[in-house]
Amino acid sequence: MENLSPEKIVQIKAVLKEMDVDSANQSLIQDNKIVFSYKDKIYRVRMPNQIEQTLAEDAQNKVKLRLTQEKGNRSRNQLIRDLKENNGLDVKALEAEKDKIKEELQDVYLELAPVTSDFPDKIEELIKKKEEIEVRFMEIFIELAEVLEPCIQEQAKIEFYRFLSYTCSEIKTGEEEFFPAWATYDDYKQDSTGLTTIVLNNLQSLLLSIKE
Amino acid sequence: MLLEAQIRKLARSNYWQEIYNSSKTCSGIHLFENQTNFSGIQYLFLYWLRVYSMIYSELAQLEWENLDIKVIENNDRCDALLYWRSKHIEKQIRKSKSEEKKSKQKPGMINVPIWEGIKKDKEGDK
Repeated sequence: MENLSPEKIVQIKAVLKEMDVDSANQSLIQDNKIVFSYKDKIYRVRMPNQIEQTLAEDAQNKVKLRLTQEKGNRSRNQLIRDLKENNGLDVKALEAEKDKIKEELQDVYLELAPVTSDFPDKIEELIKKKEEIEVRFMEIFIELAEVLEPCIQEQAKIEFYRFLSYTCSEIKTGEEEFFPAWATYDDYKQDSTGLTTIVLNNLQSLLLSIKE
Repeated sequence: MLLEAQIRKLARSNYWQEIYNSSKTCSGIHLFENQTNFSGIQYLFLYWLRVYSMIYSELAQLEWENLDIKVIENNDRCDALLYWRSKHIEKQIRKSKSEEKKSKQKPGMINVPIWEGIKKDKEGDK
């Protein structure tokens, strides 16, 4: 066998490293599905088609209507008002704070971008500063999401994703055969295993911000 | 690793950049198994493929002094460069537009506002 030069070995290692990265993550993008295993069974979540999207929007609207008619439920704006009056929590101030942090982040970007690779310490310092700002941003982002979750709009949005999780989840039954994971939406709602959570997370990853 | 970081790593790899560039000219090369109904992840991947393709081409043309391969490989530095770049280009466009406006004015001409008629605030206002 031909002796490989150290340069050639380094080159081959680099190619293999890249191939490794590709094969590990390619399943994320190769098609519009996410395959995963749960309790020794193979499942997949796929992208919804037009009909399924429409059905999910109908389910979302039904929940919105029901919650609006029921006493005690609050719209986003009502909840924001209530939180300020009863709990002293100013959502609008938090949102303004979030925008301010975003501007701070942009300032760090403008400071970081002109620094060339000859100054690694400066780069590290600015990246650390950026990460600290991001932590503050995420704290406010999570707080806002948590306090606004009970509002009608958020509850209806959850229903939209739940419905799609039910319609787009499939279980592997044969070599290349997949069947719906739940026979009915009620079966899905009554499922107390962790499968529904995994499916919901995968569906949200698959959709990302397409709907918004 | 976060999902977006994984997608960016794939998008900037030589393998995917080559496929992306080839797919622009060869109709037989497809990026994904599905040709329609792209997932959010696939949209995001397409976005980053396009962005990295642009940055690689600007790197080859030595467009920016502060751009090198280490910037491309570091997501934080790359984000910073993209933001700085957009601001820089915006500034240049504003500058060239204002110069263009100035050059259209004849020497000695005063910049007087042009009469455009009475503007109605609301429909039905008299």
